[in-house]
Amino acid sequence: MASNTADLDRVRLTRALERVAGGDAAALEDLYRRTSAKLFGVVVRILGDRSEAEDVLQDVYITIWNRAGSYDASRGVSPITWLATVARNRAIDRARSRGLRQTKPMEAAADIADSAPLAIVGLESADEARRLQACLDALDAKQADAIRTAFFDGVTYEALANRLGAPLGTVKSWIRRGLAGLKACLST
Amino acid sequence: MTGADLSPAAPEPPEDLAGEYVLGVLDAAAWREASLRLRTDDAFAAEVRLWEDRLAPLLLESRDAAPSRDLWPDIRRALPADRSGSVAYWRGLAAASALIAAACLAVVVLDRGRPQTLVSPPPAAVAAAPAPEEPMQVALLKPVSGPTAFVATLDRKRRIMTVSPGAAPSPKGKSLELWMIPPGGAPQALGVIPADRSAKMPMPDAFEGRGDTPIVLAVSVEPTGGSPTGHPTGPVVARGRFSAV
Repeated sequence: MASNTADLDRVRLTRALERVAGGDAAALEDLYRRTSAKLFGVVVRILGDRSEAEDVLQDVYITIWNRAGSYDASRGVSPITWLATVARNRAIDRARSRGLRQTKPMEAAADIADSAPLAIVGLESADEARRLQACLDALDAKQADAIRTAFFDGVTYEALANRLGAPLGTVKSWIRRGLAGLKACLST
Repeated sequence: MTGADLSPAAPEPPEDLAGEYVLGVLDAAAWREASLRLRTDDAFAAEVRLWEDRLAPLLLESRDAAPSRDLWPDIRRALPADRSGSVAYWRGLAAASALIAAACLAVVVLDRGRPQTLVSPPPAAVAAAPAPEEPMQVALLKPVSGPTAFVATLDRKRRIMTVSPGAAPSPKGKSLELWMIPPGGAPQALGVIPADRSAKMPMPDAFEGRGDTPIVLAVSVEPTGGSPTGHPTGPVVARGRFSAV
C-alpha cells in the first residue's frame, strides 16, 4: 500500500514537471501545493531566517519553471529529490551572496531539525534516503557529522573547523575520507 | 571507527573537488573557480551532478515548514509572460545564433575567395533565424558622469558572465566588488573584481531566461577582500544593466 502511494506520488510529480517544462503554469501551481512545505523546510534549515527563506522559495519555483525540462527521470533521481536540490542550491547561493557563514539567528534555531534523522514516511524517495542513511551510519561518526553539517550549513572548511572545534587539516581529512567512504558504499 | 575500509592509518584521501563543491566547503576563490569549471568541463559537471544525486536524499530529512504567507500569487506574477524563459527557447536561440555565425563565416570565406565582389549574406540563412535578440548581452557600467568603467557581457549559452575593466578606478588598498540589484530588492554580492583584467564568473541564476533584464549591476569600493557585511559599504563607482546587443 505504502509503496503504491509512493509510486503514485513519483509519477504525479514527474508528470507535473513535464507539464511545467511545457509552459503550464497550472502545473507549477499544483507542484507548489504539493512540494512547497518540503522545499521551504529545506531552505529554512539552511538559511535560518524565515523571511529570507520565503524570498528564496519564490526564486526556487521560478528556477523550477525555467529548468523543469532539465529534470531527467532516467537518471534514477526522484522528482522530489531533484526539487530539493534546486532549493538547496538557491539557498546556498543566497547564503554565500550575503557573505554569511555566520551563526543562524537564535529564534530560527528551534525550527531547524537537529541532525538526528527523522522518519521518512510516505515519501516516494524513501529508498534513496534509507540507502544514504545506511552509508552515513557506516562512516566514522565525526566524518558523518562533518558531512551533514557542511551540507546543511554550506559552510567553508574554515568555518566548519570553527564550528566543530577541530583543526582545519583534521576537518578536511574527515570530509575527504567521509566522501570517499560514501562514494564506495553507495556504489556497491 | 566503523568505516571498515578506512582505517585511521589509511593514507590521506586525495581531494574530491566535485564532492567538496557540492558540500559547499570550498572557500570563495576555489568555489568560484569550480563554478566556472562546471560550465566548461563536462566531465567535472557530470561528477558534480553525481554528487548532488548522492547527497540530495539528505535534504528529505528536513522537517516540512509552511511558508507563513501564501507565496503562490507572487510567484505566478513573477513568471515570464511567455515561455521566453524556457530552456528550449534559449536552445533555439543558441542554434539560431550558431546559424547566423555560420552564415557570417560563409560570407567571410566567400569574400576572401572573390575579393572584387561584394557578397551579401545568403538570404535564406538569415531569414531562417527567428532570433529577435542574441543570447550574448552587454552591460556598460558607468559612474554618474564619466566614461564606462566596466563592460559586462553575458553569454547565456555557456552561462558565463565576463566583467572587463574600461576606465576602471583602482582605489589604493581597497577592493572593487560587483553586486547585482534586482528591482526593489537588496544588492547581492557577486564577488571582488580586478581593476586591471577581465573576470569570468558563472552567470547568476537570476539572469536566467530574461531577455531584457531589469537587474542592475553595480560596482562599489570595499575594504580589501570585499564587503565585510554582505552589503555595499563604500561608494558605488559604476552601474548599468544588460540590454541585447
